[in-house]
Amino acid sequence: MTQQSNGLTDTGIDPGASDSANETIDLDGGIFIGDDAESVNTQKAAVDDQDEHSSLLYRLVIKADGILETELGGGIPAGSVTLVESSPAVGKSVLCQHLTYAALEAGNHVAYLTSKLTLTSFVAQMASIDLGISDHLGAEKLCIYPIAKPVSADDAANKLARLASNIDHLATRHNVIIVDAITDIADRSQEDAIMRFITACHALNIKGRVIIIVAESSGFNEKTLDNFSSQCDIHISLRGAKLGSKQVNTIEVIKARNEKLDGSNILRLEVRPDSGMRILPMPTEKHSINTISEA
Amino acid sequence: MSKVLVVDDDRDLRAVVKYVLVSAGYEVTESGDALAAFQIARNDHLDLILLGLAI
Repeated sequence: MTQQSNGLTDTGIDPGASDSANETIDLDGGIFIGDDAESVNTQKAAVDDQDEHSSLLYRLVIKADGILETELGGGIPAGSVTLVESSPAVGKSVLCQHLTYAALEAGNHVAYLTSKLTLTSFVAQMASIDLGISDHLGAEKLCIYPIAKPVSADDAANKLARLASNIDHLATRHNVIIVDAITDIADRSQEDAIMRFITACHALNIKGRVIIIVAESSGFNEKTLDNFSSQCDIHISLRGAKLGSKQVNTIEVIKARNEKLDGSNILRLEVRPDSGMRILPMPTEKHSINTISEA
Repeated sequence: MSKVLVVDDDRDLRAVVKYVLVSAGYEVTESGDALAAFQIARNDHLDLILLGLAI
């Protein structure tokens, strides 16, 4: 790995810009991976054992208003690759921030690879959605790794190829790795390179790690997304459209535990500037279509 | 449970329509292209097909 003058390595990850000591943050509250302290400890022990066949399951439980809980798809198992694909401006990065927060809260170590955010801007964004982190600075549980933007299509393909290798070489304490977003590194013209990256992540993910790959889905056709999905254990899709005068955003777990689900795991979500993502539970009583569209 | 097939090439619109229908108690299948939709219609017992005009 060679160091470039701008501090970025030719592998795309910028170790100098990571939060090594004083830039490490910890988070609390909100969305949880893991049910309680006991399960968290059990999960941590399993991760430490690096058992690639572990039945460990990080439950993806999303709390709405601290009262309502909805489980999507069962959870995120260790040793899995999750694809989060989203239409523009629906909330994929906010979802990742909540997942980061949840993972840290459950005692995990997170490496957040991003081409957009610095540690400062990440912390600011977390604070803006009321995910307080200041009390946990210095716990060395979170590293933000900026990814250098490619200068050409060939450069993007090369960076993606090296990125998978770099993920494998991240400190072993990082058992949750989030790449936000792969489509900032390579666009639709590099479908094959993205596919190879996802495949490589799947191949290297043998150490009980959770790898979450974020992609903006606009520009990719259905077949391409199906191909991406086929290489992942979990596929979460975020969508948004106008319904009458209302903007309606949805989150759907399309695939979990390497199996395509039946299509009923779809919920409505809201993203608010002051509170982040809020998942709205499915009505317990079936509403008429008019009632839902007017809600 | 009544089964509905939603056919449209707009993924966002499909998802929102699907959410509304699932919330209302319907079982929903979706398709982004007409040929795949024909295949589903042949193989599944459907109660309703919502078909985007432009498809």
